[in-house]
Amino acid sequence: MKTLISTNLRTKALAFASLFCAGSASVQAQFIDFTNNVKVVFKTVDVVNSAGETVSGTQATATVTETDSNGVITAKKQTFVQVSDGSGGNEQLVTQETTTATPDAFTGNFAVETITKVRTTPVDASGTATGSTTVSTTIEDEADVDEDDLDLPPTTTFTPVDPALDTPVVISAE
Amino acid sequence: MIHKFSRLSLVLAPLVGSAIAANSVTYDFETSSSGDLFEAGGVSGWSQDTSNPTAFGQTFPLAYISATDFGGGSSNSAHLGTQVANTPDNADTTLTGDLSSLDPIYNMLNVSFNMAVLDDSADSFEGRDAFNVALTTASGSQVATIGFSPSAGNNEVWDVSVGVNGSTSTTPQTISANSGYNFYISSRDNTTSFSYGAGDGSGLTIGLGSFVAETSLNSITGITFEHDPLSEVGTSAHTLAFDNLTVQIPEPSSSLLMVLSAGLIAIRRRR
Repeated sequence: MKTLISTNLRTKALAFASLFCAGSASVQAQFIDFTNNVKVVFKTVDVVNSAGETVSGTQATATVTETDSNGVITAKKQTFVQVSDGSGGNEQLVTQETTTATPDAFTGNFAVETITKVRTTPVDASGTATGSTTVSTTIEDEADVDEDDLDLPPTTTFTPVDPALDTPVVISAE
Repeated sequence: MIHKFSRLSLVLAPLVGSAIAANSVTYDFETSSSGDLFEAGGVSGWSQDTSNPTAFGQTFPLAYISATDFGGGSSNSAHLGTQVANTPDNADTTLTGDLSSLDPIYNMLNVSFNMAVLDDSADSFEGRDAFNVALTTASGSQVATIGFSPSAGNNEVWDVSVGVNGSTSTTPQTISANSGYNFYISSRDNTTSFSYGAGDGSGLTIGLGSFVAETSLNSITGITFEHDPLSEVGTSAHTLAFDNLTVQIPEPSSSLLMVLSAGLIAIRRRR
């Protein structure tokens, strides 16, 4: 049932995905390349706005994970949510989290660094910015982390299905 | 002789005209382009009831046009589901194709379409959802329905159910992911029959059941394709692809014309 993805199909899938991502030149989109078969997961969540209130909003999450030839794992997670700012307006909260796990050649355990940037932008109801963006950055380091304890976010990339469908053999089940 | 022929023509002309005015609707999406979205009338003759979600300054579609080959060659087809996005509250997404131009329906209807469920069971999205296809009235009531529900114990198979009046009965038949099928609905007066076969027309066409409908076929105004999320929010990534949808009214005028013609010929011979 499964087929290896041909270069031709990969090209088609890339072209297809790019049709949905015309605005990929934005700063946020550069953090994760949405043209590379990344599925964005939308969920209703509770978040804390800049006024410290817990408010409900629709959060979009995309995560990609790559492992280079040295075994260094890089996971990028980006979230987006627009919520009430607690003073009659709205704000967009964009979180960009980069986790880099570097293996130790002797122990096999990882040194993990997580950089989290939260960008907060006041916007109107349609999402147009009405003020400047503030950025807060936090960095966390962990040493000697076992591979089983890495706890990296699950990737949200998908594999495009071959558009040339199989021909089923339809037989009566009775 | 000429006089008689003219008189006969006068009788036959309206019937012939009626027969020529074929009463059918076809959606093959060839006037659309790959990447067109169904939302906001983006695909002619179709509407989408749920807004596409947006984030990061972009729109992520729940339904769109993309090429698929059901066995007769690659062509534009409709896609509905969670391949690239999902509704945040697991709300259904329904596409409705306009059939209002089919008036009058004469209480007879033939429907056929290509369909497939596209899914990669090896990806990280393990959730699976249901889909259904229905002939509907202006009030949204389902007159005839084909349902596809995830089969228990097999991530690559969906069970097929069929029925009328808004309910369905499970059939023993299933469809496999990433395989192209043809489905057929044939209704005469109150009896509606369902069948299906391979998308390229090869092999058998298997009957799925016949039912007596309470709702008149004459009240049908649309055909709906619905994605029904069953899995946890954001855990599925698959689509229902469909194409070459044809809804045709068997022409009573053709049958009537044949009967009347036979009668007229018999009268002439007698004279």
